[in-house]
Amino acid sequence: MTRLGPFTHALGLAALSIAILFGAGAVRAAETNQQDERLIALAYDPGTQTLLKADANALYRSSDGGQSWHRTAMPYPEDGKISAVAASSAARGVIYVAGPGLGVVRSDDGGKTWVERTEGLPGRDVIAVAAHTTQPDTVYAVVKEQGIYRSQDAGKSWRMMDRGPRDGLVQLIHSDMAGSMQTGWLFAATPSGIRRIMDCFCLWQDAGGLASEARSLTYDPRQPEHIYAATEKGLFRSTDGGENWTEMTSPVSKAVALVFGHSGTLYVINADGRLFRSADQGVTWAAVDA
Amino acid sequence: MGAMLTAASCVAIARAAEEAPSLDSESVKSGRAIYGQYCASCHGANAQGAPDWTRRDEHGELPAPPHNAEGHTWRHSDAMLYEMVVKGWRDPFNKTKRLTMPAFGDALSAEQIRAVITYLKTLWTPEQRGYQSEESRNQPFPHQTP
Repeated sequence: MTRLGPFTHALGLAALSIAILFGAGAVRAAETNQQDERLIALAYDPGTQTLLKADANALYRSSDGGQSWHRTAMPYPEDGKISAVAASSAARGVIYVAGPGLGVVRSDDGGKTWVERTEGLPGRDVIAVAAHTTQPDTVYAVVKEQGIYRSQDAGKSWRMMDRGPRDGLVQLIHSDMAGSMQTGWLFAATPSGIRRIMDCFCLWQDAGGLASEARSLTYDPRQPEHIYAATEKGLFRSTDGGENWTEMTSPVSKAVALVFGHSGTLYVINADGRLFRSADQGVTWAAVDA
Repeated sequence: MGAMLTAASCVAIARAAEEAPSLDSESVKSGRAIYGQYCASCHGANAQGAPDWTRRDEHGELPAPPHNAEGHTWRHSDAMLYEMVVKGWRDPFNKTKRLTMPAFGDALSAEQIRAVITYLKTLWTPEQRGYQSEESRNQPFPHQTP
């Protein structure tokens, strides 16, 4: 017995260690699953009047303003995660989805079928994607540690355009706001606020003094100089292209994404998927039942 | 994510440039003289731009940018550059009402404008010239006089 004692003790310790390891693994897996289910993006396809939302694993579509959602089958996110969704306002039903390990995928039928559009990019770790507002085949992709790439043939080929804002970005949108030397503007949500650049990529500039980590931004297509941002400090609105910002009433404590939908309806969502809409540019909000 | 994209955002065309078309030497010579007379006072004798050109000045205006390889002139097509010289351009975020870039449509002929832009192309890298040439493929100089 005395000779078996140390062996039994060691066996017990080994079993305990294995149990702890598996237990920790299960906890990590659960945390990862929870993390992956957090909502990260909103987009609106004006051609089909479809609202889109995404977590890291799936894209969902709603044709009734967010009251009901349908998961969209996508063939590509097997070993990748979704981090960005963009719908084209210049081409009906064109949607881009991008993310780390996923690259860029494109649908031109409102999400029914998808085509990979990563060839020509330096890697699949794509952080953000933005569709050009008026050019149906122009799209921008932000590749981690590389920069911003532009495609003018719907993602079939890409060209590096710029290193991007100095402190990185989490979302990029294209806007047809007036005053650009080229065809429009790009706005970026960055860890230090909103930055903008003409789409010739001439010079990044701070868009006002919004010195707060920005998570998402959108603009009112009917008034492109009206820009809205979800930041660490709350929701903000600019009516002058990002020069000055005013804090808005926020229906959620931590908005993660916002987008303009049909007839100027502004939507905001938090990580848990609680969706709110505003018909008066964010003055008042109503919860969307889902 | 936070560590990404930290490099300066000036020149970023990675794709190998196509061979840019050669420049007419007479046009370059003429353009250099025109540049010295009309452009150098703001953009610098060597097209190096005004000091601190990336920051708004005390009037809330962006100073004149460089036209050499350090600037962003090469990012624009021939048509766009031509139009900017003819009509001028105002940065919409300038705090004054005046044009950021004055209009020269009344001072320079079409040939002179083409010449000065041709001269600027000698200041760019081969990659930049290749990029600008591609941008100009569908947006060349206009045929009309200003």
